[in-house]
Amino acid sequence: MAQQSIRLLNSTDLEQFTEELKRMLGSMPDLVFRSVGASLIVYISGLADEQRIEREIVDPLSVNQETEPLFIKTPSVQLTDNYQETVQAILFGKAAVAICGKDQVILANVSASPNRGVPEPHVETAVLGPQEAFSEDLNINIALIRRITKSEKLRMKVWHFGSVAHTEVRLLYFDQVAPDELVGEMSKRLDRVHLEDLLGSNYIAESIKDQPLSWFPTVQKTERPDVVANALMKGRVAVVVNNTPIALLFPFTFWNSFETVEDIYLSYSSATFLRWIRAVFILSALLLPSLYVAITTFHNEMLPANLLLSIAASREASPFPALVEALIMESIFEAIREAIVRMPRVLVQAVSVVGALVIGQAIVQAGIVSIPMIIVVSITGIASLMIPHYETTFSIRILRIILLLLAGGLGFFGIAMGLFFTQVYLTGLRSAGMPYLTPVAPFTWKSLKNLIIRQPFERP
Amino acid sequence: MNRKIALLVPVLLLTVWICTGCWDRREIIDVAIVMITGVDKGQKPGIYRVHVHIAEPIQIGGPGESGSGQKKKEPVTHIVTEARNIDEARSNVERMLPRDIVTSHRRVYLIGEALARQGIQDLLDQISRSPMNRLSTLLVVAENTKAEKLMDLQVPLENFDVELFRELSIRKTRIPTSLKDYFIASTTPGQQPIAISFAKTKENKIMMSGIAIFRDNKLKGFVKGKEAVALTGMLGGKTGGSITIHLSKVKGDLSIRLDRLKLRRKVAISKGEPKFTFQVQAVGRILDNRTNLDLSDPSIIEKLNKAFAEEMEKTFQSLFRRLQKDFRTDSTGMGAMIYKKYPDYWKRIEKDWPKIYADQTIKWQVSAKITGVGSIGAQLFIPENEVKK
Repeated sequence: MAQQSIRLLNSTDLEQFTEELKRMLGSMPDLVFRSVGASLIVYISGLADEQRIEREIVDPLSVNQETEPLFIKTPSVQLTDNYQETVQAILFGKAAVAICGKDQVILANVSASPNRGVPEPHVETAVLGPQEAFSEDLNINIALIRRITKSEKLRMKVWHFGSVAHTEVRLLYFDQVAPDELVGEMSKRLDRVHLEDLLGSNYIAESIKDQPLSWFPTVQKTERPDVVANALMKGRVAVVVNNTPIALLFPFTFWNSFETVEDIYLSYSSATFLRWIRAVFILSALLLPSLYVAITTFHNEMLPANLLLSIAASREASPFPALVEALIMESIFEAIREAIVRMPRVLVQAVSVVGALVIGQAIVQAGIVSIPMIIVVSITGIASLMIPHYETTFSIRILRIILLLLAGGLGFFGIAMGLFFTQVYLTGLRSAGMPYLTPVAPFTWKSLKNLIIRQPFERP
Repeated sequence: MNRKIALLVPVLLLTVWICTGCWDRREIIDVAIVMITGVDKGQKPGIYRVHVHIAEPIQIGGPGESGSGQKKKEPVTHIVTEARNIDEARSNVERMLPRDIVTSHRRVYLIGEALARQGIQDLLDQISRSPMNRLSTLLVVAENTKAEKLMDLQVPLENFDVELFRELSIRKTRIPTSLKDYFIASTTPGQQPIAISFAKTKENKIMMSGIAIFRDNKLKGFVKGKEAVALTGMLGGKTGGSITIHLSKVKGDLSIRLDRLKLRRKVAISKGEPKFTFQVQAVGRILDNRTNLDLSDPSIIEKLNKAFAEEMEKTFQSLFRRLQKDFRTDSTGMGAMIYKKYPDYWKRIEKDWPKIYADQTIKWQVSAKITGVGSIGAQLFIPENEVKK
C-alpha cells in the first residue's frame, strides 16, 4: 500500500490518504491534519513552522476555489506521488498539501525545527577573532560557511545515512583547489559507510578516517566555521553532519594540532611567539615528569649540586620512590581534570579550590609526595591544557604515562626508546593519504617555513 | 604480518625492562653525596688518612618545616678513615654509612702539605679512573697544615666549605686548576702543574695563601704575595693584587690595584741557546694615595707609570728567581714555548731541560699604564698649597 501511487481525485481518496498516513506514522498528537476547503494539509507541529503554514498555504488556499486558481506561496516545493516520500517529507518538517482533484501531493518546505541559532564557541576560543560556532542544524552550518567564503568554487556532495535516522552528511570542497584524488578518496570512503545509528559526527569520523584504532587523531574536529572556511581555501575537504556542531576536516597532520585559529587573527610576531611557547610547553607536557623521574633516580650526576641537595631535602619526607609519586600525582590530576569537565558549572569554582589547595597542600604537608613532584605535575598539567586540538591532548596524556613508566624503569634509555617508537609510528601514520608528519617527514622546505613561523601575509 | 612484526619489536625490547628490573636505579634518598675529600699522611708510613664530607640534605631545609634551632648544625657529616690507598679508604667509608657513596658531585680534592711533598702520583689514578669522578674536580693544597684541620673550620657565607674553596679558586684567580688542567700541564713537555694553596689564619679562618708549585708530582714550594700575583697574571688568570710604589723624593707611597697583565712571550734560538724575551704591559688603577701628589696631573702619572713598571719588573724577576733557583721548576711553561716553536731543538735538549732551566735568563720589557685614579685627584683633606703638582 505504501508503494502505491497517491490519487486524489475525490474526497474519498482524501480520506484514504489520511488513513494511510495515520497508519504509517501512527496517530501522534503532534501530527496535524488541517483541511482547508477541499485540501488537506498534513504536518508535524514542532517541526513545521505553523505561522508560515498559515501565511503561505492556508491563506492562499482559502480563496474561493471556483473563481481563482489555487496556489501556495511557499518558495521551495516538491511534487510527489508516493507515500514513502510524503511520510519522509513530513518527518523532515515539510507540510504535505493534498488538493482534491490533483493527482500529486505538494510537499512545501516550511520546516523550522528548534535550534540554538548561532552559538558561541566553547572549546576553540579566540581572543580577537569571530565568536561564532556551528549549531546542530545542518542548514545553518552550511550557511555560515557560505557566508564566510562567498566563492563559486564551493561544492557539496550529499549522503544520507541510516534508514531510521536519515542523517544528512555533506562533503564540502573547493573545486580545483582541493586535489581531485583527495575528493575522490573521501567520496569513496563515504560511499562505503553503512551505519544505522548516526548519532554524531564521530561515527562518520571513525568510519572514514585512516587508522581508526590509532591513538593519534587523524581527523580534525572543529566547531568553528572560520576554521572550516580556512581549511577549504587551503585545499582540504570538510565533512558536515546534521545534528552535530562538529565538522570534520581532512587531511590532518600532526602539526595542525598545534595551530590555533588565533594564529591568523594576531600579528606575525605574536603568532610566532605563541607558537614557539606552545611547542616548548607541549614538549614539556609530554616529557617533564619522565625527565624528572629519570634524572633523579638514574642520572643524578646531571643536576648541579645545589639543586640536587634541595630535591634530596624535599624527598627525605616522602616514603615512595619517584616513579610511584609521579603516578599518584598524575592520576589525581587527571581525576580532577575529568571531574571539572563533568560537574555542573556552578560547582567548578568550589571543586577547583578543593583540588588545588587542599589536595596539593595537604599531600605535601602529610609528607606523601614531595614538593618538586607537585611542581612538575602542575607545570605538566598546565602545559597539557595549552594543546589547541582537544583530541591530541588525550594522545599526549596517554603517551606521557607510558613514557613515565619507561623512565621509571630504564631512565633516559627508556625515554629514548619510547620516543623512538613513537616517532617511527607517527612517521608511518597517514591521514587521508597524506603522511602524518608532513612537512617534516617528507621534507618540504616551503611548507616548513610556515610551520616554524607564522608567515606574514604581506611583505612590505 | 608486517604489523605483527612491527608490534613484536617494541614488546621484545620491553621485556628487557621486565627481566632486568629497574637496573641502575638509585633513589636520591639512598645516596650519600660526597662534597669534598681531604687526604693527608697517616700515622704510619704508607697509610693515608682520608677525611670526607657527606652532605646532609635534611639540614638544608625540607618542605614546609623549618628546623627550629637546628639550622646551626653544619649540613655535612664528617667521616675520617685511615687506609693504605684511596680505594680501601672508600670501602671503609662505605661501611660506615647507611647509603651508597656517590662522588660525582665532589668538586674539591684537598691535599695536605706533608703528603704533597711526598708525592701525589698514587692518588691521581683513582681520581681519574673511577667513572663517578669528574675531571673538573679542583685540586688544592693545604699549606702548613693538615687537610683535615682545614676542613674542620667554619666557613662564612656558604653552606659548605666546598663552595669556599671553589669560589676562591675560580673567582679570585681565574686559573682554577682542575684535575684536567693538572694533567694537561703534566703532560705538556716543558711545563709543570700548579695548584692553589690555602692556609689557616690565626683566627681559624681559611685563606687562599698562594700557589703551590709541583714538579714530578711532588710539591716543591709555595709562591706567595706579589710573586703569586705575577704568576697568576702570567698564566692567564685574574690578578687582584696590590702593588706598592713610591717616587723618589716624595714622602709616602701609593697602592696600585693590578687589573691586567698583558703578556707576550717570545723565544728565539741564537747560537744554540734559547733566548727569552717577555713583553709585559701592566695595567692598573690607583686606589690608595698616601702621598700628597695630585694625581690628576698627567706628568705625575707619567712618573708613576715608570715607577710602576720598575716595580713590576722587580716582581717578575724575583718570581723567576724563586722558580728557577729555589724550586727549579718550570711552572710557566718556558720549555713548552721552545717545544711549540722549535720541536727539533726541543728534542735535543729535552732531557737536560730541568738542569738548564735554572740558568736561563729572561729579557724583560715591562711597560705599565695607570688607567684610573679613582674619583678624586689629590687627597681631599690636605690644604691646597701643600699639594705637590
